[in-house]
Amino acid sequence: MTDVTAADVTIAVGVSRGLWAEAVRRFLNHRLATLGLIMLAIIVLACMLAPLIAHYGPNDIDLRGRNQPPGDVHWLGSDGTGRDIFARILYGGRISLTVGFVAVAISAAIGIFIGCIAGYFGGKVDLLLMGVIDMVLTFPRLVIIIAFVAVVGPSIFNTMVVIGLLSWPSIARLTRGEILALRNQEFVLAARSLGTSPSVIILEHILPNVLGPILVAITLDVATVILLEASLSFLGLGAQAPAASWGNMLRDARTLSILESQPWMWIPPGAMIAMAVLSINFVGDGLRDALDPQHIMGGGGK
Amino acid sequence: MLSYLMRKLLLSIPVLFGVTVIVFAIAHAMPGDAVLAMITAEAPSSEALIAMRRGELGLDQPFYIQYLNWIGQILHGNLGRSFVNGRSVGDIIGERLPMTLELMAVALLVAFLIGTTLGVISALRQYKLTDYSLTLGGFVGVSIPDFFMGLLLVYVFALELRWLPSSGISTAGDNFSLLDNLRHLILPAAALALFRAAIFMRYARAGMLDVLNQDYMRTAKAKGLRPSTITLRHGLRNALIPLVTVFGLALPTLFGGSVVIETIFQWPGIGLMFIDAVVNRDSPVIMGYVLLTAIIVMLANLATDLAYSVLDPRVSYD
Amino acid sequence: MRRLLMSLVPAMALMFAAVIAKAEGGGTFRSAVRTGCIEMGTLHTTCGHRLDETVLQGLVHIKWTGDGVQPMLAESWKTPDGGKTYVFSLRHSVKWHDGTPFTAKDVVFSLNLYANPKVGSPWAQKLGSVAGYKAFQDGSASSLAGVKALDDTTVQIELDSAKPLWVELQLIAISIFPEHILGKVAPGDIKGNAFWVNRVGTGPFIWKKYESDQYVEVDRNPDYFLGAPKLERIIYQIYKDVPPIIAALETQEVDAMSYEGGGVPISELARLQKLDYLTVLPKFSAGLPTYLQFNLENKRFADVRVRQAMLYAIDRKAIIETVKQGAGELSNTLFPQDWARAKDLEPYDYNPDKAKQLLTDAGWDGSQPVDFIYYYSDQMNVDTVTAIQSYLAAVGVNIQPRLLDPAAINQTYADGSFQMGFFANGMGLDPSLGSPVVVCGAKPLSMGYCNTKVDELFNKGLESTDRAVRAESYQEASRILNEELPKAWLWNEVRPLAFNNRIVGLAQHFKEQPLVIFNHPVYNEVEKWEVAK
Repeated sequence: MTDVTAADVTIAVGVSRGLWAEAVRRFLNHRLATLGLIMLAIIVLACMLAPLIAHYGPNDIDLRGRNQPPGDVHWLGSDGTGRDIFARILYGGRISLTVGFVAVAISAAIGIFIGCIAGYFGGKVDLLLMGVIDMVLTFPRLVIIIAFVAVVGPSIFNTMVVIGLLSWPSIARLTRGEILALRNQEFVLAARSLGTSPSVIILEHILPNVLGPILVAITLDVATVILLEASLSFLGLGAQAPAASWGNMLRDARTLSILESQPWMWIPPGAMIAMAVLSINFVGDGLRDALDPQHIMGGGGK
Repeated sequence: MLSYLMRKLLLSIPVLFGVTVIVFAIAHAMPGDAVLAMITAEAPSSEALIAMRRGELGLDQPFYIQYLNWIGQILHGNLGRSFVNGRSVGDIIGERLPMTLELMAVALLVAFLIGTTLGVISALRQYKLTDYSLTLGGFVGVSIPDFFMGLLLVYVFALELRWLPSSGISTAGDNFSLLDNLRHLILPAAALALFRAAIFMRYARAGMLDVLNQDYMRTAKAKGLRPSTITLRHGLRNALIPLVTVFGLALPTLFGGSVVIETIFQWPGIGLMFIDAVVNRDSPVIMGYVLLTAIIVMLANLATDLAYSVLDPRVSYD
Repeated sequence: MRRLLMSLVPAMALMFAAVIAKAEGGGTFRSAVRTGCIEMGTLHTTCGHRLDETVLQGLVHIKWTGDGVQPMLAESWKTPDGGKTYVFSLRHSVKWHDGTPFTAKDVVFSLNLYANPKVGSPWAQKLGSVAGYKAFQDGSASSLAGVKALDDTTVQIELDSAKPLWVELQLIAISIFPEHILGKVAPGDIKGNAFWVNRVGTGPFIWKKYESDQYVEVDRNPDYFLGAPKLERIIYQIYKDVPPIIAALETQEVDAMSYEGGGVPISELARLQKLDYLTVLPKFSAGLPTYLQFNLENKRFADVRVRQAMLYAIDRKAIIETVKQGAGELSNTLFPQDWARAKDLEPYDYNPDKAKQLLTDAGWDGSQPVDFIYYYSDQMNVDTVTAIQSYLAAVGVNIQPRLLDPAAINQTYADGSFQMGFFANGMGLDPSLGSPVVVCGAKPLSMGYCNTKVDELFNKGLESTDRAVRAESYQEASRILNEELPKAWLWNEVRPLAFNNRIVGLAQHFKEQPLVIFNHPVYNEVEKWEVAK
C-alpha cells in the first residue's frame, strides 16, 4: 500500500475528471433535468434583468389604479396599492432566489467545512463535531428561526443568515459520511504518505470525488429554503413591506376575498414559487442520476 | 446494539444541554421582555411597576444566573412557571401536547399511506402515463408551501362546499366526540400531509425501482411469479426501508409546519402556544417547548436508527 | 400493496362519514374573542372586559348607547359635596354564583385590589383620584384610606378633590370581585390565579368551562338581579388570528366577533355583506385616533415644520378612499369626538410641494433613513404603511418600515431608540381619555411632548359635567394639538363589525352603539337577547 506513487494519485484524479465529463453528458441526456435547468435559467435571468423587462418599479404605487385585473396596463394586474404585479414578481424573485442561494451557500460552506474536518480527522474531533451536528439537527428549524428573527429583527438579510446558520448539519453529515468512506482509499493514503498537507488532500483529492452527492443535496436545499422563506413571510417575519418577495406576495391570499376573486394577486407568486422549486428539484434529480457512482462505475441505467 | 443505544443516549445529554444554552440565550436576547410585552398603549405602566414585575420574575438577574436557576429547576423535574399566567409549564404542555401529537401523527400516517401507495404504483407502472402523472403530481406537491395548502383547503372545503369546519379542534362547548374531532382534524392534517406524501412517494418509488432491478427480483420474474406476489413477498419490505429515514427527517419539519398550520386552523396545540410565548417573551414556555421538541426529535432519530437495524440486517451499529 | 390499499379504505370511509351536518344547540350564542384576553385576568388585560359584561359586574356599567351609566351592583349613589364624596347604595340580596351573599366588603376589597401596588394592575390609575391612593401606592399605607364600607350595603368613596364625572369616566372600568375567594390569595399571586379561568361573579352568566386557546363557556344565571337571561349559554370561542374568525362568521361557526381584534378587515367586507344571515355595520366608528408617532426627543423630529411637512406629504383622502375603502374619518387633531374639536383647524390638505419646502426650510437630511415601526399586520394596514412610505419617499423622507410585536416596540420606547411609527390609540368614549397621548411626562406615549397649557386644559375639561363648558377646554386643546402636531394626525379608524341575525338583540344593540367602547364592560341588555325561532 505504501508503494503507491504520485502518478497513481494523478490517475485517480484524472479518472474523476473524466467522470465529470461523463456526468455532464448524462445530465444533459436527462430530459426533465435539462428542462429544469432551462426553466431556472429563464427565471433567474428574468429576475436579474427586471429593470429592463418591467415597465414599472416594484414599489410604484397607484392608489387609483389598485386591484386591476391583468390587462394591457398591468400585464399581471395590480395589487392593493396599485403596484404592478409583474414588476413585483421579477423584483420579488431577486429576493426569494437570493435568500435561497445565499442561505444555502452559507450552509454549504459551513457544512462542507465541518463535514470534511469531522470525516477526515475522525476520533475525538469527529465525536465533538457530530455532537454539534446532532444539536443543530435537533432544533426544529422554523421554530428557532421564528425566535431568532424576534431577536435580530425581521429583515431579508437576517432571514438569509439565520437560515444559513441553521441548515448546514445535513450537508455536514453527508460530507462526513462520504469522506469517511474515502479516507482509507489508496490514493488518499498515498497522498498522505507523500507528506501532502491535510488541506491539500481534502481540497484536491477527496472533495472532488465526493462532491456529487453533496451537490445534489445543496441543490435540493435551495428549493427547501425558498419554501421556508415563503412560510416565514407568511408569518410576517420575512421581507418587510414595501419590499416584495414571492412569500410575502403570496401572503395576500390570506384575505378570503383576494383568494376568491383576485387570483391574479396570488397565482403569479404561487406559480413562481412552484416553478422555481419544481425546476430546482428537476435539476437535483438529474444531478443525482448523473452523479450516482453506481451509474458511473457500473454504467447500468434505469 | 445495546451499547450503541447507551452511547447515543449518553451523548444526547451534552447535546440537550447545548440546545438549552443556545435557545435560552436567544430568548434572553429578544428585544423587550415578558414585562414589556404586557404593557399596552391603553394601560401604560409606571417604571416602578415595571421594575417590580421584573424583580418578581427574576428578569433583573444577569443572564447566567437566570439560566442556572432555570436549569436547576429542570434538574428537579420542574419546567418552571409561565411568566404570563403563572401556570406550571409542565401542565400547559401536558394539556396541549396530545393535540399536536394527534395532528402530527395523523398527518404523518396519511402522508405515509398515500405516499407509499402511490410511489409503489408509480414504480410498477414505470414510464407509463400513471407514473408520469404521479411523478409530476409529486413534484407539484413538494412545491406548495404548507400554509398555502391550508388556505386553499379552508377555502374549498369549509367556505365553498361547507363540508368541514374551518377551524378549531372540536365544536366548542359540545361534549367531546371522536367524530366531531375527526371532522375538525381532516383539513389541518391534510394540509400537513400532502407535502409530505409527495416526499414519501418519491422515496417509495425510488426504493421500489431499486428493488425491482435487483437480481433476485429478476429471477423471481423469470420463474414466472405474478408481479403482485413478487412485489408483496420480496419487494415492498426492502423498498420501504429508506422510508424510515424519511420518517426521521419529517419530524422536525412537522413541528415547524404545525406552528403555521395550528395558527391557520386555531388548533390549540403546542405550536400555537409557542407562537404566543414568543410574542409574550414567556421564556419558561419557550424553553419548555424547545426542550420537549428536542427530546422528541432526538428519540425519533434514535428510533429511526433502531428501526433501520431491525428492518435491514445489513446495517449494524457497534 | 393490496394490504396497503385495504388499510386506506376504512380511513377514507371514516373521513367521509364524518362529513355530516352540524347540529346547533338551541339557546347558544357563540362569540369570537382574541387570544390573551383571559388567563391574566381582568385586572391585567385590556381585552378581558367582554367577560366582565356577562360574568363579573361593576358597580356601574357604561350603557351601550354611550350616553350614560347603568346601575349594576350599585342601585343608586349620591354625592353630597359636588363630586368629592360618593355614597353608593348596593343592591340587596345579590348572591355570588357560588351562593355567598354579595356585600359592601366585596366592593372595598375590589377597589383595594386594583390600587394595590403588589397586584400591579395597569388599571390602578383609574382610582388615582381616590383619597389615599398615593400613600397606598408608595407603600406608606396598607389600603385606600378613601374607601369605606358604612354598612353591609353602603360604600363611601372619598376623592382627593371634586371630580363630578368620576363615576361616568373612571369607576366604569372597575369590576367587583368576590372577597371570599380572592381575599385568600396573596396580592402578588393575583395575576394568573386560577380564579381567572374559573371566575365566580354576580353577572347574568355563570362560568362553566375554560379550554385554553379553544373557548370559555358560560351558562345562564336564573337568579340574575336584572332578570334571568333568555339565552341558555354563551360560548366565547378563542382565536389568535383574524382570518379564521372571518371564515367562522361566514360558516356560522360563530355569531359575532369582538372589536378588540380589529373588526372585520375592510377587504373582506364585501364578502360578508353578500350573506343574508349577517348584519354588517360597515362604518362602525372605532373612536380610534390614528397617527404617525414621532420621538420628539430625537432632534430630527423636534422641528414642527418637519412634522407638518410629513402631513402635507401624504394624500390622506386618497388613502381613505382607496386602501381603506372609506373606512376612516379624516382628522387633524387628537379627539375623535366632534364636540371636542374646534371648527377652524388647519386641514393639512395634500401638498407635496409645500412639504418639500418645509423640509428644506427645516434643514431635513433626506439621505438618512428613518426607522419606522408599526404593529398592525393585516392587509389594509400593511397597504396603508406602503402608501405612506411611498408618499414620504416622494418628498425626500426615507422611512424603512418594520413590523414589530408589542414587546419589541416597548423596548424601543424604553431605550429611546424609537424614531417614528404608525399607531392608533383607543379612547373613544370621552376626550379626557386621550390625555396619556399628549400630556407632559406621560411616558411612553407622549414621546417627549410637553405643553403645560394642554395639561391645564385637560384638567379643566373634567371640572364640569356640562358638555358645552367642557367643549371649550377641549376645543382649545384640539387647536394647539393641530398646530404643534406632537403626532401627525391622520384619521379616526372605522371598524366594520358583523353579526349573525340568529341572535335577536345582538345586532340591534350594536346598531345603537355609537362607537367602540374600549377597556370598559358595556351594559347592553344581554339578558334580553335570544336565539331567533
